[in-house]
Amino acid sequence: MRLEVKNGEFAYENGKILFDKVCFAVEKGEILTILGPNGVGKTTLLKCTTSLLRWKKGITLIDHRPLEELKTSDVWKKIGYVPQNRGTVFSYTVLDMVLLGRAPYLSLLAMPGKRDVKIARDALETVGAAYLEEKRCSEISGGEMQMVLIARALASEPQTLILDEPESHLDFKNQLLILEVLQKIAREKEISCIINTHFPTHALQISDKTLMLGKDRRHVFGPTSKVITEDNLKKYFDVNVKIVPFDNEGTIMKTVVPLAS
Amino acid sequence: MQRTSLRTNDIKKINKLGMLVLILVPLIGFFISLCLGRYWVDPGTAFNILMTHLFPTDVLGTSIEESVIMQIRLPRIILAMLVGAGLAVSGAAFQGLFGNPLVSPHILGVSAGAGFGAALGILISGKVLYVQVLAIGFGTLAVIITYMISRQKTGTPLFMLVLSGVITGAFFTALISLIKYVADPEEVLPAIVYWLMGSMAGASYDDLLIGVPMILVGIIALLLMRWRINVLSLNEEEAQSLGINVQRSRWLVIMASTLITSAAVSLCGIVGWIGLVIPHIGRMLVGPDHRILLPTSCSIGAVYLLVIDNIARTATAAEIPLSILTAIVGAPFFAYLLRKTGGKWS
Repeated sequence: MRLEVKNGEFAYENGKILFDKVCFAVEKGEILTILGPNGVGKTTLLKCTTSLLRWKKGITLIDHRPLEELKTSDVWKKIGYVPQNRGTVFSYTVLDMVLLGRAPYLSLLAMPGKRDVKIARDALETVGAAYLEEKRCSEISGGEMQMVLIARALASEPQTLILDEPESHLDFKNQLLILEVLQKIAREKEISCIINTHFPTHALQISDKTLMLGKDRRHVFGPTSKVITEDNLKKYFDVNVKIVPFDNEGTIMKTVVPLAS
Repeated sequence: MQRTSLRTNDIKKINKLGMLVLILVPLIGFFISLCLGRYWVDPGTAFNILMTHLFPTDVLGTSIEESVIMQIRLPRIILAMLVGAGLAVSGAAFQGLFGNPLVSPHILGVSAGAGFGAALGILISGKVLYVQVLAIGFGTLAVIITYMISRQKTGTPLFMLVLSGVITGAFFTALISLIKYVADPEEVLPAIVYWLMGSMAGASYDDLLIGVPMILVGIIALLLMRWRINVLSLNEEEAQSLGINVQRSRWLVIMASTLITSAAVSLCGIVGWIGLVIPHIGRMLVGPDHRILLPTSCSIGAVYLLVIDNIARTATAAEIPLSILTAIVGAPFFAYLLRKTGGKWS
C-alpha cells in the first residue's frame, strides 16, 4: 500500500496554523520517521494522516484514492495505529487486549472467534511477546506493554502501521527491541511504518525516509540520509551535532552526537 | 504445542463449570425464595404447584399455598431478580463505557428523572399505571436533556457527558424535593418517601406488564454488545482507531441502560448500590473482560436483590425499604472484600 499526504495543513480553532503544505509518501515496506522538537505538531500530524483529526487543508491518499472515500472500518483495516501508551483502566489479559485489534472486522454484536484468536496470537508471536498471552496488562512492564500495543495494531492486519513515539519512555534495551521489531515488520511483512520519534540516531538506523518538522511551519522531507544532516539538526532543533559514521563488523552505521546548544 | 492445547481445554472446562454455576445459583435462589416467607411452603409442594402451572395437566383446586406462591411470591421474585440483574449489568456496562469503575447506572440522571416522574404520579393520582408511565417518561427525558447539554459538533467527550448527567440529576433531585414539599404530609408525602426508597411490596403481574419487557430488552441488548464494550472502555481515540463508530456504539449502550434503569425505577423505586458494587464483585470473580463480566454481573445482581428482597419481606412484619437493606447488608460485605483483596481486581 502507498500512503501519501498532500499539502497537509492543521490549524487550531483560533486560526493559528500549526503546520501547512506538508507532503510525504511511504511505499510498501518502507519506514518513514518523523522528527521535530516538542510542540511542532508531530502527534497532530499523525492523527490528521489517519483521520482521527481533520485536515484543515490537504488530503491523505491511500493507493492514490482519497481516504475519505473509504468506509471508516475499511480505513482501519489498512492502517494500524499505535498510540502513546497511557495505560488502561481495566487490566484485560494480554490476549484479550490484542484481540481488540480485530474490532474493524467485527460488527456491533459480534464476538471474536477462533480465527480472530489465531490472528491475535500470530501478532503476539511477530512481536516476540507470545509468552505474555495470559498475563494481565497491569502486570507487565512498559516495554512489554508497548509490544502488546503493536501486536494489537498488527491484529487488524494493516498494510501501514502508524506509531506515536513507540520507544520514548523505554530503557536502552527495550528501545532496541522495539526498533528491531519495527524493522522486522517492515522488511518481512512488508508493512510500511510511519514513526514519530525523538531520537535522530534511531531514525538513521531504521528509516528509509524522514520528515523533519520545525518551528514556524518549516519542514523538510526526503531520504533519511539527506534529511538528517548536521545542518538540518542545527536548523530544526537548535543543537550543534556531529554525525559520526563507524564500522560495525563490516556495516557502516551512523550515530548522532550532540555537542552544545 | 501440546501444553498449549491442554491449557486451552482447561480454560474451557472452567468456563463451562462457571457458566453452570451462573445459571444454577439463581435458579436455586429462585426456588428457595418461593418457599420462604411468613407462610412457609415446603419445597415439594412449591415444586408441584410450579409444575402444574408450567405444564397444566389437570386443574388443581386453589389452595392457600397456591395463591401465595403464584399470586404473591412469584411476581415479586421475578421482579427482584430482573431488576437486580438489570441494574448490575447496566452498571457493569457503564463502568466499561466510561472507563471508570466508580460509575453507576444513575450517572446520567435517569434515576433522578424517573424518581421525579414517579413522585409526580403519586402526587397527581396514585394509580400504578400513571406512576410507571411518568417514571419511564421522565427518566428517558432526563437522559435526553443530558445528551443535549453535552452534545458538541464533533461528538460528545465523556467528561462532558458525566458533568451534564450530574447537572440533570441535581435538577431533577431538586424537583423531587419540590414535590415532597408541596405534597400532603399526612398521606402523599410518606407514600412518595417510602416509594423512592425502593420496595417490591404488592407487585402483581399487571404491574409488571410495561417494565419487565423493557428491562429484558435492555439486558439482552447489553449482553449482545458485551465485546464491543471492551473496545469502548479504551480511551476515545484508541477505540476510534480500532475502526468502530464510537459515538453510535456508546449511545446504543446508553439507550439500553436507560431502558433498564428507568423501567426499574418505575417498578420499585430507586434501588441504589447494586449497579455500583455488583460489577466489582463480578470483576473479582472473573476479571474485567466484559464478555464474561456482563453475564456474571447479571447472575450476581439477580441473586443479590433476591436475597435482599427476601430479607425485606421476611425479617420484620413491616417491610424494610430496599435501598436501606442493599447498603446495610452490602456495605460491610463489600468493605470486607475490599480489605481482603486490596482492590486489585479491575
